[in-house]
Amino acid sequence: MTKNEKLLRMFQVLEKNNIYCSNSCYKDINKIVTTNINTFIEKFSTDFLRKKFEQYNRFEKLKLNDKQKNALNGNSLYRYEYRENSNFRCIYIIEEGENIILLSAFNEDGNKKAGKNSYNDNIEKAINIYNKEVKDE
Amino acid sequence: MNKKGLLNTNQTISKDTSNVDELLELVEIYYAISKELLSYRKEHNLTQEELAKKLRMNQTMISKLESGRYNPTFKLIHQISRKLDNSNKFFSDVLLNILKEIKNVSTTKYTHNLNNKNYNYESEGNIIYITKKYINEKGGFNNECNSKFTNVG
Repeated sequence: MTKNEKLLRMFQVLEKNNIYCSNSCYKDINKIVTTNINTFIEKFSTDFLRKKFEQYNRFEKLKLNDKQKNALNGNSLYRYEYRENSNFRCIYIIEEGENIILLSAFNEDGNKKAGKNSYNDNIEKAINIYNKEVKDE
Repeated sequence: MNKKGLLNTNQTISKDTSNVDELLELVEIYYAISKELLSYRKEHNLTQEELAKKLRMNQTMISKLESGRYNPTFKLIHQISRKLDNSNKFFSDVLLNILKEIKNVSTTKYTHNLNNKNYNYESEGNIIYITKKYINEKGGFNNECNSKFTNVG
């Protein structure tokens, strides 16, 4: 089974629970996750399935400016933090109160200042992906 | 949402040779168990500490069970079921959840009127699971009850 197939299999399971992945985010994840694929699949899917039920601190609502909020039509963006010896982060949106859509994934830079900038860049990227590829026309 | 922008998961995957399927099934099973426990706690407005006290466990164990990362024994689930409401309802709900998660079974909801009370059930195929209330007031569940079921979707 290739890495691609393993990740696809994971997303088949997540989709049963209304967790979807944009094509862009899938490409990001494929690029970033290069080792310990099985561990990533286990932890990521466990975290996201549980997210459906209760908030806990791997998931954080992102602070958006007014322009970003308008661009998302009132939906909020969230950031997921993968905590297994990695700085993998994932931005997602919750649509219609129940569908979770993964928009982008990236590695957070260790430097705080640079990390903050990478968040801003990735928020803008996630908003663009949402508006151009995911949102209903 | 626009499905064109989303990953198409309806793709053929080669036969699993690296236990990913088994791993994901376990994730789904643990999730089914944690979901049921969380559901009970929320329904009864209990904190983890309060539920722990009821089950005569420590709060850490409740947290582990709800995390979806703990592998409980059948004995533990059965004990929890008995301590929650002195029945096997929790146990059977967990099994039903597991069935739904790993078999992707869709269930049909029925309502049944008995003695002017409505009882709600979920069924899979021809098997009726009593998920909300028991109708054993008159001593049992029988074929006569089957004929009075109304499909509500």
